[in-house]
Amino acid sequence: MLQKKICLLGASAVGKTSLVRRFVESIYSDGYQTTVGVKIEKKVLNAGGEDVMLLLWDLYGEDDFQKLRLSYLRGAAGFLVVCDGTRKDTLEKALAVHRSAEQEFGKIPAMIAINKSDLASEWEISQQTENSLSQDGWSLMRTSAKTGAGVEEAFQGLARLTLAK
Amino acid sequence: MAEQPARQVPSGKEEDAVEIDARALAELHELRELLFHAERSELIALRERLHNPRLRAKDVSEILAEAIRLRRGKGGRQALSEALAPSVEEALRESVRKDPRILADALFPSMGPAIRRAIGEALRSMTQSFDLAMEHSFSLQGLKWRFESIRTGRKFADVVLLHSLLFRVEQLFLIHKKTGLMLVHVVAPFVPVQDPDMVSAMLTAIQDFVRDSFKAPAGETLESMQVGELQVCVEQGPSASLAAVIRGQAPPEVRLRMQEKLEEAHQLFGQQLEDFQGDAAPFQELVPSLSDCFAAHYKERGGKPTPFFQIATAVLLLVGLLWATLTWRENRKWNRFATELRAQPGILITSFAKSGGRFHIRGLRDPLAVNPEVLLMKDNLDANLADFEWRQYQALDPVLVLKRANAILEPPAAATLALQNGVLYARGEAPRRWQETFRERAPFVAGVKAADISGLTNTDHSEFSVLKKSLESTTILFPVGVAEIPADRKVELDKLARDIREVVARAKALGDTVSLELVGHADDTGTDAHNILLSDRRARAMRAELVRRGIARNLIRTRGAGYNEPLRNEDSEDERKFNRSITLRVISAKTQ
Ligand SMILES: Nc1nc2c(ncn2[C@@H]2O[C@H](COP(=O)(O)OP(=O)(O)O)[C@@H](O)[C@H]2O)c(=O)[nH]1
Ligand SMILES: [Mg+2]
Repeated sequence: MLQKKICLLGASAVGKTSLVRRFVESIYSDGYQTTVGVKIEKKVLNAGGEDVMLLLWDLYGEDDFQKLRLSYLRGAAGFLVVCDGTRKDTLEKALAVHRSAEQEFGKIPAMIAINKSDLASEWEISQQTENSLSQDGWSLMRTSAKTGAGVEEAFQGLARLTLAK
Repeated sequence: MAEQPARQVPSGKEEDAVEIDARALAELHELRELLFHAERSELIALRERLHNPRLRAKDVSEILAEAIRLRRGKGGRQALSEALAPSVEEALRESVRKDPRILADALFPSMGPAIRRAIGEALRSMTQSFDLAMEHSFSLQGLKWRFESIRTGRKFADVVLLHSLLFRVEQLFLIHKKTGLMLVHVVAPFVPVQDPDMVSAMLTAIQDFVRDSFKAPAGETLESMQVGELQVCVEQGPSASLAAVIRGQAPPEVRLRMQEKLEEAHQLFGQQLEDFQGDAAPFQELVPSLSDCFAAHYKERGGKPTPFFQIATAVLLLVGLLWATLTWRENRKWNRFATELRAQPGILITSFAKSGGRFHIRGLRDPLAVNPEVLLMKDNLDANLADFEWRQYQALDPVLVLKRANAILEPPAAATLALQNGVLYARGEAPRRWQETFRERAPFVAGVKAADISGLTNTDHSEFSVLKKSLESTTILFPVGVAEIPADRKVELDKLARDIREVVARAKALGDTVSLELVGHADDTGTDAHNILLSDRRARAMRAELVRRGIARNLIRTRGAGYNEPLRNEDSEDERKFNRSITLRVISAKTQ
């Protein structure tokens, strides 16, 4: 079976850990993350008729990019760039982190997950922003780790991107 | 015809042609003789060679080995093997059937070492765990471990092994360095495993973490981690790392071994490692080679005798114990036999001794007592080991007295003897003559003081009644209207006369006298007067026959009953014939 390393990028509290927890049934406690700075989960899914094992590296969110452990991103086959739809600045931060990663490791399949879609009333990211990101070549997905909406699809989409490469 | 060309054929039209043919043939023959004489003998020799199986066999035998070699050389190996295999197999089977030793001897030099090595290996691993378990069975430590075994559900021997373990490589992970993805995972038998994919990833993450955190220069990485009794050793290669989970403290050789394996992986899969896109399947080829690293090493117990010495001692001890047990059991069996023998009536043992592995038994024995050899056999003892020396005597044990009485007096089948307080009782039925013998002789049987026959009834009387009944059921049949005894009945009458004499004799023995009444019968046809007359004549005719056979005339009365006492109702001719007959009655003087 094919294995793919996927890293979740994004500012803290956008819901990266929540998304992973929603996606997989974890056997490990979240305690790892704070000590080592990363928590790894595994999930097998079927993308385009092929079974793929995703190894999801959920980094301990550091808003300050300087402190991000870039070495964790090495060897990733795909990035899930996560931001919080109710906080516009988290999108900027996420894109910035992604840019740094790209500088370091080159172009790698990626997907933006705009999380917390259940909080529609507090939404800050306009449709226009989304459109322009799409025009830049981004794949976008609105997700809610709370309701589960779009979560499966986001990972599925990313998996397909990594295979298409 | 061609062989006899000179023969003259009578002339005639057709014969002329034949003659010309014959001449031509003769000439041809001559020509052939002239031309091919030398070659001809050669041809004959060749033909002889072709048709003579002995010569042909000889020819083939000269080239057989070379032919096989040639055939093998020309790539016909497979075909040759296939052709020969059945015969070779059969030959082997036959050889083994005839004398298995030949093949065994031939194979021995190669089989021997292989078998020895296999046995040695098995013994070594067995004694190792056995020694360990034994050594720790009774110590305080052992008690602790036994408790652990109960608590964890592991076998005690396993717990002991676990603690005596110096080290054991339990798991190996070949990890793609860049991605942290697992390439190969191998596990030693019976080692529980967590999700190896995630372990690989975490190991990589931890490596990264440590490197980042301590700002270690590139190339210097975490080489080992200790978690309780488990140690994780990581060897780094250019594209892959090899992590080993080791229980206990691994010596440096293990690291060397891991490096070798890692080098091997890079050698074989250098390009695939660089181009790795998440498909680990090709790397599974490394599993067998990696599995070599699974070796368990246990604590040496210095100063202890070698396992061989221990085994030898144990075996010797066992053999000794076995021998002692067997001897003890054998002796006990013999002693039991002696006791049993002593309890037998008619046997008195004066000495019972064992010497030189044989048993000497001496004493007195009544000839009627049980045979000691039979007793030996019953107890599964070897009769050849026993020397008996008996002197005969007459025992007064009631059982033997009774046996003796039976042997001497020979009671008839219907009578039994019993002994009580020296009195011999005869019970049942016996002829009068035997009763007299009994009364006379019984008191002379050793051990019998008196004889009693009050429990006996006379067989003679019952024999008399049986005979009487048999006589009275005799009927002699006659044809219609005939009074003479039919000739074919004469034999029957001989027997009848004998029985009559016997019944008379028995009656006399019983103090009785008997007479006979012959009653003649006739069937229903004809007048009563005629029938009476006819039946009377039948009875008289019979008497005449009996008198002729030596029966006193005055013993026999005759009577003609006519049809007044029919034997059957005359419903058919078949029944009617029974009424043309004579019946017989034995009349006892006493009962009348
Ligand atoms: N309403 C809502 N809350 C969310 C969602 N995802 C995460 N959160 C909350 O956001 C907070 C931060 O989430 P976490 O997963 O720890 O973010 P991380 O730092 O990116 O891993 C937590 O309190 C979550 O309960 C979502 O989709 N909807
Ligand atoms: Mg988190």
